[in-house]
Amino acid sequence: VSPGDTGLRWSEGMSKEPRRGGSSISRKLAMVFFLALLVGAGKLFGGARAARVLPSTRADPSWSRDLEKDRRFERSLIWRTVAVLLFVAALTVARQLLS
Amino acid sequence: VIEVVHIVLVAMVLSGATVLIVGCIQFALAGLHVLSRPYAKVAEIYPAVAVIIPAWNEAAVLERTIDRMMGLAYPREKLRVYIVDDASTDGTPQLLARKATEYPGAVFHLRRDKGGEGKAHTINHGLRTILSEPWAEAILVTDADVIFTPTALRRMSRHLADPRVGAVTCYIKEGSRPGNFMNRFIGFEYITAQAAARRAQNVLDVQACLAGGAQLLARGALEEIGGVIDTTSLAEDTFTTFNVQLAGYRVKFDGNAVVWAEEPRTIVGLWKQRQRWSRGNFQVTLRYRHVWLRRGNQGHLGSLGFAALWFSIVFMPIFMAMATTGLVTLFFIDRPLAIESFKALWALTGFTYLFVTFSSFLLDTEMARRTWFQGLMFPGLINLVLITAGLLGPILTTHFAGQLETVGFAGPGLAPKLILLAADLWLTASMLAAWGVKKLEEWGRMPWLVAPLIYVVGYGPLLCSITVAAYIQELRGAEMRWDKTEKTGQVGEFA
Repeated sequence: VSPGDTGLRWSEGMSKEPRRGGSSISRKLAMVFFLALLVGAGKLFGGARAARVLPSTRADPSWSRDLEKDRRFERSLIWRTVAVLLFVAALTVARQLLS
Repeated sequence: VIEVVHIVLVAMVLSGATVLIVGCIQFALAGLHVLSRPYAKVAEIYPAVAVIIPAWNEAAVLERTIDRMMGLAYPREKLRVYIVDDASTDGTPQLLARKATEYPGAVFHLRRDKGGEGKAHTINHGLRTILSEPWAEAILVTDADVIFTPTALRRMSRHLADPRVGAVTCYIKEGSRPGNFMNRFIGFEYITAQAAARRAQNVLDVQACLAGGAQLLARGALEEIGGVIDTTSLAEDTFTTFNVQLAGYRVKFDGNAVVWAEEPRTIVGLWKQRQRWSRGNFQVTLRYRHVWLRRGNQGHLGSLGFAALWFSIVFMPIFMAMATTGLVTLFFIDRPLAIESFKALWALTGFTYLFVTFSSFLLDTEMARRTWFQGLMFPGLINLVLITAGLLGPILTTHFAGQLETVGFAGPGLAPKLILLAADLWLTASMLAAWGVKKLEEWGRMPWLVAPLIYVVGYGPLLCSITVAAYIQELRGAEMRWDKTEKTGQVGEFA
């Protein structure tokens, strides 16, 4: 096999395969991301439901109020984290644009 | 070969941001805490709790602690307080006799005639008494100065409804009133080290340490680890945490159960306390060497995630020294790459600093109102200048290249080179500077200068410096002494 032949076949292969493979990988990544979102949302709301039907003796109503408050706070941590992430991301973009 | 050397040096430089990157991951995990369903298996249960308070000359703080304990939102018949008096020589015995009369059948005074063996021995004295009777279903180990908020105990005990949970800890907040700059630094530090880090550990289903001031142990779990706590180290709480998990139980952190504690007001006080903790961590690292990164019956203690959290702290000074070595070597062998690495390190540090700091503010807004300035100044003024240079460097060089050259910060002269070299050295030099500030405080001639210097040098470098000192002590085989943190009782006005 001459070096020229090898180069030609290689370049032919390269011109098609990566594009097909790339789009397939993107689809798979999108699917994984979507599934992760679904699982995350399921866990979030599933967890909330599970906690709501606790086999509690309810001897003290303030105990349940505390639990509800604590669960609300833990849920709020998601948007708090996202807010900070967005803030830092905005700073990063601003830095890139200004430099 | 030269390329490989360059890659290794750049990697060494970027390792300087390891702690902050792990910090970011912790905050991201803390944000996802709810996904681990922290309250899925709780129930309204009130196990019979025996509280152990080790005390040596604690008359100033004990009365209030006992009164607060007796006023908890917890059934009185399910709560007993055992104060283990470690041969106190102040008014502690008299105070305890009075309190035992005031709360009959609820407050007990256990006296050790031979004291001074350390906190772990004192706690074990109480444990032997408590476990000799069948009454207690759970044991709460706390400190004489710790003030429980009314619902803290029942918020902790609810997790014991899950029989797989062997121990629970809570969020200890710095509560000195009136607090000084050091108290506020610690207050902010505890948002990251407790509220965030321990939530992240909940997500990983593993805990590094039950806070010594608030550890609720299920009786079964305690008996399974021998009914006593470790007395051979300076980190008895961490040993208990590891042993409970190695026995197959889970350890949980409840960030909504809050207690207040009085923390050191001086660098010397902080140095003593943290040196003890760091030496303890060193001892844990060696003692549990068979656990790290191993799969098996260690629960999640052997996981990669937990190892990353643990060793990023344990090796923190080494990462700093590596970054400095990489920067300085590059400075002499490849100046342009040194500049690029410097910018990358500090830009990375800058973004992680912003994420960690603002996440902390949002995680505990109440504490952030009190400690926001110390939170911003946590790395120190000099490091903040370097962070700013890292973040704004590209903008400055794009728009103000000429001006920077005019004032001597850029260009071919000697000054820019010296500035860069000094900045390269600062990561490690800051630890030395922090040690110098501690020496200044010990000297006692210029107490007014200590706080401003810590703001310049940074609280973070001070912690690194203490870690280095602790390792040196440990490698030298220094004596294990329990240096008690002095308490004044001025704690928890906001509790």
